[in-house]
Amino acid sequence: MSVEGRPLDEEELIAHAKSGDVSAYGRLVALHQAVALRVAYLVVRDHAEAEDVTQEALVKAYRALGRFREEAPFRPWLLRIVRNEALNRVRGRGRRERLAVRIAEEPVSGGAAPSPETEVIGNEERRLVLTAVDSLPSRYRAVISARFLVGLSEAETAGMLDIPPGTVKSRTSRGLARLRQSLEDPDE
Amino acid sequence: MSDLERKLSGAAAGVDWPDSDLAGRVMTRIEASERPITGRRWLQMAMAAAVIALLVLATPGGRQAVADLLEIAGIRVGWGVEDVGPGAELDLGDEVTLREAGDLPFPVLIPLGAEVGEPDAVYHSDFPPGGAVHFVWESGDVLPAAGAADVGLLYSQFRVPPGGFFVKSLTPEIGAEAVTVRGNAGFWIEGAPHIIFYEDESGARERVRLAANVLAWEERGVTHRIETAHDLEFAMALAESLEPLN
Repeated sequence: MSVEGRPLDEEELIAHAKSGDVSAYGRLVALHQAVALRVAYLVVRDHAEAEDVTQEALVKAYRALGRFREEAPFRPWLLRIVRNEALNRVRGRGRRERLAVRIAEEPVSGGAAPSPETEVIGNEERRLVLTAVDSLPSRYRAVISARFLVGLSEAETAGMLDIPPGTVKSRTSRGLARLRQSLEDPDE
Repeated sequence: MSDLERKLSGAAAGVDWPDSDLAGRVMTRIEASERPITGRRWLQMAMAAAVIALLVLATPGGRQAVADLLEIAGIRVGWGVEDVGPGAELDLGDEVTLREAGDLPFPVLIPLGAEVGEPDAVYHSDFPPGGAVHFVWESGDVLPAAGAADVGLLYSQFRVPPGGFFVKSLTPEIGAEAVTVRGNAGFWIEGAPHIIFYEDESGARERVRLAANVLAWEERGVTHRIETAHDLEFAMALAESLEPLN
């Protein structure tokens, strides 16, 4: 899978996958599966189900590749399909349970120096922060989760949620303000 | 980056995320599958079945003409039969205040002047992807249960982005007619509970919920639907009483 020894870039992989090259699509999956799993997990809140939903969505996305506009960014398009699949799964079940996300038992830094943009916080504080995110109204929760828990850019968040970038910006700012308030005064 | 943003990143780093290699499984499934009936093909088949049903039924009143009209932004109607399982519940999103309902990126209407009074609950949902608001009134003497046991009236407004739409699957005994609502094209569906599907841009089709009698129309790019156990006259009067929320 290379041209003159050079690995194919994403655009080339998409073109190959569109023409029916399943292994090229497998390479695309490998590139995006980690973030796709996060998106699914934030909706379904269960590891096995997140894997099942993501797998299902990735198969559907392959079949929908013909409708993907090549000038558009691929990752938000793919994640939109994953998120919709996850939402559909939860919706079919009726009332959605608000399960807290699972916190890793062991420190995740593994001795590596944390990024300057990541504050190392204890499990109790993680729970408080994640619970506060979970308590946000859905329009803020979706944006805050995509930006800070999944790690998407503003533009990618807009693409995945299918809302204008300006809306992502305003919901991020209002969502953060609400979070700040609820973390400072949890009884409010 | 603010302290809070760094804290969020720290919290995310502590989440036990799923981490599996799906590429092999996905490729195996794609290769193993014979061309399945995708959502879009299914819809085409349903619509073809609808035409056949219409031809066979050949009821007076021009149902063909009605079928041609039964498509407004975000909703398509087709005839087909689907097995309805018990326990399909309403899942309308997050409960919000009336004021927050006005935050949606489209003008929200509300029947404040009508005799039904203020809604008992307001829900906001990011689904369909253009966003939706739902006003719910509890069932009682004035508002008999419509679909769900405790819901007497449901008024939903949503904007459907290009590529996504709802599909209503009807059985032949359910009546459907084209109507004009507030000067806009719409339709009224009356009869046994029917099923609504949502089809997203990937062509995936999912059952969303059951519905009672429904009046639906499109107004300024927003699709409105009123779900009630009452008749068309009641729904039309309610539609006429709508005013901007803000």
